[in-house]
Amino acid sequence: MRLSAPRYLMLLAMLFPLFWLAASAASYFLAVTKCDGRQGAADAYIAYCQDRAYGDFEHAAFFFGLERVPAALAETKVLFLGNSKLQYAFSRDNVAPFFAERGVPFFVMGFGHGEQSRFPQLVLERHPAQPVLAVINVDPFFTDGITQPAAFPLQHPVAGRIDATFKSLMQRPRAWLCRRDPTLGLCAGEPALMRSRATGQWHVSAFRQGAEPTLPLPPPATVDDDEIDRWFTRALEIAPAFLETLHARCVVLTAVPSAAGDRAARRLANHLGVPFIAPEIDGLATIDGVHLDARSGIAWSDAFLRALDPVGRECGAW
Amino acid sequence: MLFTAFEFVFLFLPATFLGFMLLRRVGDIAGALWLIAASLFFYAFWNAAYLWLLVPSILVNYALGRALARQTAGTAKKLLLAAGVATNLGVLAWFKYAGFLAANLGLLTGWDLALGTIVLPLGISFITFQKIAYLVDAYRGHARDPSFVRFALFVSFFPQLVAGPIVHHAEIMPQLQPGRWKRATATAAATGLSLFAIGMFKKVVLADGVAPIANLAFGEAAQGLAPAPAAAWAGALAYTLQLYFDFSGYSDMACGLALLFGIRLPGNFYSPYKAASIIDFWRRWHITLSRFLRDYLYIPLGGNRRGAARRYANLLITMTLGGLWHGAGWTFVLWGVFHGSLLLLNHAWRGWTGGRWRLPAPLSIALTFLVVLFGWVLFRAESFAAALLMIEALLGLDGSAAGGTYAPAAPEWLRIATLLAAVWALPNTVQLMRRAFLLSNDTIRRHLAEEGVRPSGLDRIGRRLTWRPTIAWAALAALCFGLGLMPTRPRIEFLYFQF
Repeated sequence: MRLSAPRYLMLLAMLFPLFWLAASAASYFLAVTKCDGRQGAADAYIAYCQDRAYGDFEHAAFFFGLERVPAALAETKVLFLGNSKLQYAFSRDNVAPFFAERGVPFFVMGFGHGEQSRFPQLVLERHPAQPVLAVINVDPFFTDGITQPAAFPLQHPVAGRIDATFKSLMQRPRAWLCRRDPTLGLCAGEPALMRSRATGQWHVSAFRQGAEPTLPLPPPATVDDDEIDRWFTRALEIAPAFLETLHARCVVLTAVPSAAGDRAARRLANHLGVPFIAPEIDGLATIDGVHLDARSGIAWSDAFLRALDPVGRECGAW
Repeated sequence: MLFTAFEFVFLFLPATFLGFMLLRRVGDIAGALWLIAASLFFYAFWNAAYLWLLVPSILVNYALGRALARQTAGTAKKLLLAAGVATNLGVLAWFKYAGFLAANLGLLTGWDLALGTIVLPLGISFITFQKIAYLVDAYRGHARDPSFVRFALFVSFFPQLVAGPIVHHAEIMPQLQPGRWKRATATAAATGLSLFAIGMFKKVVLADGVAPIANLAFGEAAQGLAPAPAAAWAGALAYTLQLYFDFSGYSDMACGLALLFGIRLPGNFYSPYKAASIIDFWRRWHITLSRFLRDYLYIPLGGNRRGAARRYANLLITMTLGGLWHGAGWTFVLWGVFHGSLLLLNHAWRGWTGGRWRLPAPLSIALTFLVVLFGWVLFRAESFAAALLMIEALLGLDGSAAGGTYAPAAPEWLRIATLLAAVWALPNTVQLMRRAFLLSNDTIRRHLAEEGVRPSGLDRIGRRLTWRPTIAWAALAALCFGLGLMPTRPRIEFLYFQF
């Protein structure tokens, strides 16, 4: 049936959102079903999936304030900041009980892909936090770098928000179905990293399917003094603005054990006059030469939290 | 900002269109100024530094064009034209060819002539050709409009700024004259948006859908691995289809967008893979470039006016330079020589046989397609060595290189087969939406005339598909938009942006 041009345009304007929403929802649901959804806790979302159709979500979720991020940041009294090494160290079962005993909400805001300070600073500018205590994994953190998953929502605010919104919405029905029956065909898939909405911790045990390999922790690599000097000069320029955005009463620097060593972190802590906590524990092991395995993560974070206890008390965090 | 980007579709385009509609109420000049500003913003979105090239070039070419229009014939006028053309070509040569020339000169002489990285400004090849055409038209007395605003819009108009169609001054300026610039009507918007939707579907769903197949096969060859024959065929076919749907999709989007603002652009493609000869192919593929090369290179070189030998030499020169225009690399030069030679053979064959010896149409179409496909291997390959590996694999020859591992699966073959069926069985967008295009293009006019004016000589299926403001077409356009804008699909640059 022939229509007048205005009617044609009206029909196009009505049908386009319908088709677009239907096609997009279907394609995101399909993308979600390609990620392993069998081990997600009720409050967890898929932060990252090895299937490319889904890929990284946590950067956009934090940037756009999805998955309860603004509320969690506003409520937290202890905020952990850093990269995936920090996530692996503090996403262990011993961490939540430590803070629960003290009645203090905590949040682990590390990011994968080797994210540094610029992106978390942008997140904190958009979704302010007022932690009493902040723990920063200086690895080396205070640099100008920004990763590709972090750059995407910055450079593509519209596309990034649409992508993130669909990822957030379309994983909920699948999570609901899989919680009821994890044997459903649509629940298995590529390894997926789940993240807790309440604590920001990763469910690292679910990410690696099968037995976790154990590799010795490599010794700290030799770093050229000039290289550290160059980083230190730049870090002193970046750190003040970051700490101002952070609004933390107290700041503790750390260096999660890795080949990166702790020289840079120690030097910055000395200069800023803030505590540096990095317990030395023998026999630590990793799953991949970089990230602490479960046993080492618990051993190291236990020692860290014991050392943090008096600092937190003195600071008034608990 | 790509035409397929959400920022473009949901922010830039609605804002530009609404601003234009409001300002056109004030007057044509206000509307034109708004479109110029939007176009400059669109161009600067990639890199604001590009404006330092585009804006002065608009000013200089306008001044040269006006000076040429005022001059009477004579040496001064010729010198002015030569200076204008040289200036434009000089800028193109610096940005596009300086590194290539320096590298090759360095290889020949052993001198270190490295120039460092020279960033190629987006669309410079298209913009340069458009301005050269303008200067030549001004020299010939065909570009008389004195309005700077209309000239600036003609050059910078965002739908065609980055990758064409390469438009003539004489095609656009009459449309912008006071009282003749068509109001942005609902009919134009309906047609333009439908064409834009089809173009987006061609680019995002069809072209980008087969791109990974081409990337895998050509990627193996680039690494020095010999793809398996099946992989090479899948890769070459996929690239042949990708390039067509990518560039014709872009052109449809450009024409659809222009129509929203009451301006019609010439069609750039007319079912090129239905061509029954290589001469026919070049009348259907990137028509506005072929036209430019013919009018501003082949004919000034002498065309076919000075005997067969000179005609063939002119053809070969034109196509070689056409190849070089696509990219500063020897594979592009070889691609140009390849097509020049094919055209030469085609013309010679026609001359010898007087057009009496013709293969049956399906056979000549298949043969032309096959030859064009081998040409695209040269065009796509990252080096001669990679092209050779692909061609060896296509011919089933065993080379000394280690074998690649890519083996196309059934869904990949199905995708290729579907697109092949589409290019051979379906009508093209000029046939479907003739009113959306400027038919000043004699090539397209000839095609349409050959097919019969009523209703473009299409078969029954074709006639049923012709665009009309119907419920079915609204649903199809909405579906094309919906699928083209699906956020899970990556936004990949148009292939011709690199040229």
